[in-house]
Amino acid sequence: MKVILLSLIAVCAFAQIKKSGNDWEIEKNKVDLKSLARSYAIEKDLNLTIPHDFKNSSIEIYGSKIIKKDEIDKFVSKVFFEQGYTFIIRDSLLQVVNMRDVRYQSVKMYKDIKKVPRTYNIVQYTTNTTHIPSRDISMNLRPFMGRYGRIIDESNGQSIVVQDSALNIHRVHQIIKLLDTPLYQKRLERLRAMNKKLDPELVYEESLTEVLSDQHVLFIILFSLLSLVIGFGIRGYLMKRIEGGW
Amino acid sequence: MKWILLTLISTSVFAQIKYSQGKFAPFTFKDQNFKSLLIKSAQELNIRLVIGDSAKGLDEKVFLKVNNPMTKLEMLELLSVLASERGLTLNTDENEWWVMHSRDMRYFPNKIVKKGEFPKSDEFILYYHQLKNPLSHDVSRNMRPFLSRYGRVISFGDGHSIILSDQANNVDRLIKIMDVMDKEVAVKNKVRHAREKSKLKMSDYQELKRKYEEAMVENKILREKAAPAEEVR
Repeated sequence: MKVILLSLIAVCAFAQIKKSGNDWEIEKNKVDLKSLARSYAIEKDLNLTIPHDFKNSSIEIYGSKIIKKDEIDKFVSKVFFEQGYTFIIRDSLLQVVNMRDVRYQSVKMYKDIKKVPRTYNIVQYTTNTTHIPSRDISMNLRPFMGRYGRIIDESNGQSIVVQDSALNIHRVHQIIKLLDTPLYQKRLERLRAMNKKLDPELVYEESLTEVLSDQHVLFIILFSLLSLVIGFGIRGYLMKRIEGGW
Repeated sequence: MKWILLTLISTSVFAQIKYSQGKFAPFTFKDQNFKSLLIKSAQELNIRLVIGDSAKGLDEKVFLKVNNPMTKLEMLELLSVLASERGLTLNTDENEWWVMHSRDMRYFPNKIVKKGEFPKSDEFILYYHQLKNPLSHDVSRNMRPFLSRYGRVISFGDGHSIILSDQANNVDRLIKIMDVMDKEVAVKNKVRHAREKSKLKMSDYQELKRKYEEAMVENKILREKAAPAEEVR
């Protein structure tokens, strides 16, 4: 009896999300993340694993409570992204990962932007630039990365590797597309030429001590010469004193 | 009787927001919190309203008197301004409003918007601006005091490209300020200063440096003399 009651309670608590055709219908105004993850795993026909330190918070939903089938991925990933979690899908397993720990996981990698999904799940994307130096992109786009997003470049090969939420990768790609033009290269060359021309040419006047401190051989020769002159001087003086004269 | 009256009053206050034939009828909203306003507006427009865990300040009361009929877009602009006042942002999608803390918007991909297509709201957008003159480094540095709390500005190495991420209402203002700074005379002056600097010899530079250091020491002594000695208790 207890078991039946517990199962019933569990089913009732679980039923925050109802399927209406292909879409989802949220039944309550408050939905907790665990229920959402469970429903999502069933929807995707995946096994689910949740980390032991998972903080189960909730979101509130009002107005239209229908989530269309093509919106489910984006919606669920956004809810988890806002709370600091992301999904990693491996074969038949849906893994909920704390975003802080995603750097220790191998996430899905893409080379074609068209294949990058429009969700908030963390993925990796590699691309190349043609006109703009990849360093310009990787250094300047850091403020536009997510909390745990990364962007690095390989300047010789003009390649860029980005790891962030898939939707932010789409944004980064759009920014690269805006900047990676022949005009950028032309402007960059023109600016470099101008800066080179205007670089302050400071005439550095080295003192004798500075010259000697850098060149030890010169110092030894000079010192020997000086000793030789002094030695000969003293010898001449002594000889004169002994032999008489002056 | 009291209960009936109270129910009637609360119903009439809550039922003031009405959306029909593409417009919100004039209404007065008072003695209720911002959350109710959002919920009622979302319900009228049949939009999904999601309130995240980070959204605080929704329980603050709002007074609003709308005298003229408002379109959906105008209502959205109004709500985004009210949200912004409370440190929140309405992250809008096709049929979704997501209320979140403005601080968290930096981690969310905001829309890249072209000039002339800015929404008149406090929603965060990203805008790519090209200056006419190679002054992006100086201009972006001078823009910082004019950014909103969570706004960002980045300049690129070509000297012309600037990327702004800020509230749409503010981006419009920032562009106007950038246009004021983006003048050919600024480039000419920059070049002139650089030329003057390039003529400087090392001995002159060292002399200037010495004088500057002396002045700094003198200044420090004067400041110490001017400051009243702290009483020993």
